[in-house]
Amino acid sequence: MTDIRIDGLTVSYGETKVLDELSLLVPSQSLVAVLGPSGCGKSTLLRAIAGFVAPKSGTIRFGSTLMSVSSVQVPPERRNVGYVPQEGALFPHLSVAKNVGFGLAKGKDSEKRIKEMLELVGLTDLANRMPHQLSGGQQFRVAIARALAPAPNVMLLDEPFSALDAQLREELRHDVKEILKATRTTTLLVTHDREEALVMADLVAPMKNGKIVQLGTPQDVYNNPQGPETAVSTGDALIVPAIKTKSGKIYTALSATQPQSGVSGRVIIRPEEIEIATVKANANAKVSEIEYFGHDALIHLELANKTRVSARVAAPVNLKVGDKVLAKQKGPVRFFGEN
Amino acid sequence: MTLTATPIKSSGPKGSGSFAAAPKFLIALSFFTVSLVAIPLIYLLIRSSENGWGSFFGIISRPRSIQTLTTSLLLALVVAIGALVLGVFMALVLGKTNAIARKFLLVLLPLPLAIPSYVIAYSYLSIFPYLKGFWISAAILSLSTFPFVAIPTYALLRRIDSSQEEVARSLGMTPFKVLQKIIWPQVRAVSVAGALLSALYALSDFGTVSLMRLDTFSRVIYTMYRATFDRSAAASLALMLLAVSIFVVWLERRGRGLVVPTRIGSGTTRVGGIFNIGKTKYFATFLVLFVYFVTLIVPGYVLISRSIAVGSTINYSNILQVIFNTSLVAFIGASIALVLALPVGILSGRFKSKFANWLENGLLITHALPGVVVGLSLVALGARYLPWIYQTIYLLAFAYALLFIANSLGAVRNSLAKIPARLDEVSRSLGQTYGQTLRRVILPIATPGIFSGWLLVFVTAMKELPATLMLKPTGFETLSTTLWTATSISQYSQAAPYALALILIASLPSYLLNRPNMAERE
Repeated sequence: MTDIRIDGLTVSYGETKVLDELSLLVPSQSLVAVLGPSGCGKSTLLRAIAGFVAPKSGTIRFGSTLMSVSSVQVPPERRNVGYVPQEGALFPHLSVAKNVGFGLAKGKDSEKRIKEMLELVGLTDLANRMPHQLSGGQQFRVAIARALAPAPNVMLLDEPFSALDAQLREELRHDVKEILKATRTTTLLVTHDREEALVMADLVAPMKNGKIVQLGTPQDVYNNPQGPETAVSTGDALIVPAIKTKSGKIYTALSATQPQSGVSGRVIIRPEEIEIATVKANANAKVSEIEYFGHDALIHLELANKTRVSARVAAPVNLKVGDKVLAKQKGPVRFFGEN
Repeated sequence: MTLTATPIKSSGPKGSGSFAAAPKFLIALSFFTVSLVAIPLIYLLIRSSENGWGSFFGIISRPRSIQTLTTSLLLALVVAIGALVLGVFMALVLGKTNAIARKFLLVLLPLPLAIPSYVIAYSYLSIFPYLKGFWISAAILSLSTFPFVAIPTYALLRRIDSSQEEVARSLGMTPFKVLQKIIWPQVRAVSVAGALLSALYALSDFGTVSLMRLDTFSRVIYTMYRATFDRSAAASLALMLLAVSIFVVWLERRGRGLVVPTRIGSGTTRVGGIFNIGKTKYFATFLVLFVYFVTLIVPGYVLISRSIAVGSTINYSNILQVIFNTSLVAFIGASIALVLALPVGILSGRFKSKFANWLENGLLITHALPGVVVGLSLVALGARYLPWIYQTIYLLAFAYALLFIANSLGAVRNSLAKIPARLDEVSRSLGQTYGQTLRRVILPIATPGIFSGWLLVFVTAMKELPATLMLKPTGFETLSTTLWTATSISQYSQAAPYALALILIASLPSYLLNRPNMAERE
């Protein structure tokens, strides 16, 4: 099995740099999710790895084998990657079995391999169906089986579940993760869906302006974001103005007192890191709105100095709009100076 | 696993990024197609300037040439206006009102296109042999080409979301105001573009104007070609006609560019509402019936009754021979057109680039080629340089390919452009080269669309008249030339069975090919 090593990769369309000296290591047999908003270049990264776009500079290696430098590109058909685009892109004129067998050399072995793959994705009964007779989820499973059939070096998934409805998505995420683990395939997935990245990946790589800005386990990236934007990309986050004194203490609008002097900057707080207590006196905030989700609720607060923050509290919720409360920060304090 | 890296062309300068990905063999084949198509036109240019450009300008500034130009332009203008009025009227009545038997009348809408205008002209001549001149020609051409306007206008009318009409009504507009302020502004670009196609048809029409003895470019060029050995004069006029036709095609493409999207938001569209026009519906239905009476029933009656009248003297084996001839040349022509169009269609349908666009537009200009122009240039070229193909059916088939390659290209391009690029990519990632991907994925998916394009060229070529007259080998007759010969010596009854055969063989498929447009949203 192979890792993917990307070094200083730059891709431009005309004058615009879509990937800007991007480096990333996808360890062998792991699943890495590149997370970023649309237009950040994540699909281009995937397409460069698959060989559909030619980078301007930088290198792509599968293990020690060079796939791409600026002057020489291995054509896509010789990279042995499994590529699963959005919505699966099944060949509409071929049956399920023929789709799965598309990348296999004809012969007895291919029959066997097709059967194996259909078993793996749980679609043995549908071998002779045509793609238009399948549900969205089934189509996606066929696309996975088709990509895995030739035993690819690496799997590339492009926004895999975004076209599916919420319930199906959760089920497929789980199954696809299992399948990829079972086949021990090195996988790179790109997505704009933070939940998808956190749930599925061994390592999450937030991407910004054509660069990977961090690489870490989902927990690590969520808890120790490299910057405010990364924090927002991995989950709800409040970015609150803060002041750091010479002694290293950090004050925000939630603090009981304010310092005379210090370095100004920003602090990132997750809504679940704000604790609310109903108090008779010493309240520092007023409830301005409640968004109720069932299992929890988001309480919007207005602090004394008009700063607005929100806190996630578990159900049941015993608050109402207008209540005076004491809001306190718990958990790590992440301070970022002005840049 | 070991892999040896092979160099591929790195992306070139700005704007040609995706062109770099197009395989070289496609580019080479596309160049071949474009040059093959360009040669006859370039030859026409050379031929008309043979005696110097002074002589060329001398010919085109003759009073006769100016008069021909005026007549042709006026005819094109009147036909465009006639087709526009008729087509918009038919589309509105059938698409927006509660006319009687609306759905049945709608099914007949594409049928007038299936009857060549010279067959309509022939059927009226056989009843009223004294018909001739400008207005009769204009009326026949408008009546036989109004579906160019009516079909796209109708399709667009049905696509306009009825909630727009409802909002306008709720804001206090009368149905007539809605028509004027909401509906017409959305359809007019499409209607006018259709009318320009009618104008183009009028410019290139040969049969109708010749039967009606009206001296437009086509007839004058043909007469000069027949009467004299000085073909440079004919070539000069042909060049003039070509310039006018290209201008009309350019206008038409501009017009299509002005078509506004009929919806901006998302969500499902409900097809437009039907206006209750009260008692007026009887009158509207009567007018629609009258149009069909003139374009379908009279010619149909003439063809059938005359065929029956000469029934005992019909030479069936000759008819079969002529049908076979017609189908054979049309078959070869449609196939050449497809083979030539394929590489350009693949290039422009699968690889968006300025270069592909340029090639495609270059080929689409052939849409402007009148039959006499192609006929004249191939006769001149063939007689002088290609004696081995001159006077064979292959040169005639090549003329068909030139005349109708734009249709073929459109079909190839559209059926290929619909296939998502993801499919190519998946196939490549599964180890297939571009050639294998074409063979295993792209072409199989596009085959039905490409085939219907081929069929359209096949049936259209069967009806072609002027180029066939000029290029057919001596003694070789097709349905259209037999019909033409009999009509020009006033043997109207003898012509009837051939005309009937032509309608039956060519109409049925072209009617079926036009039907999907009508079924849309119905």
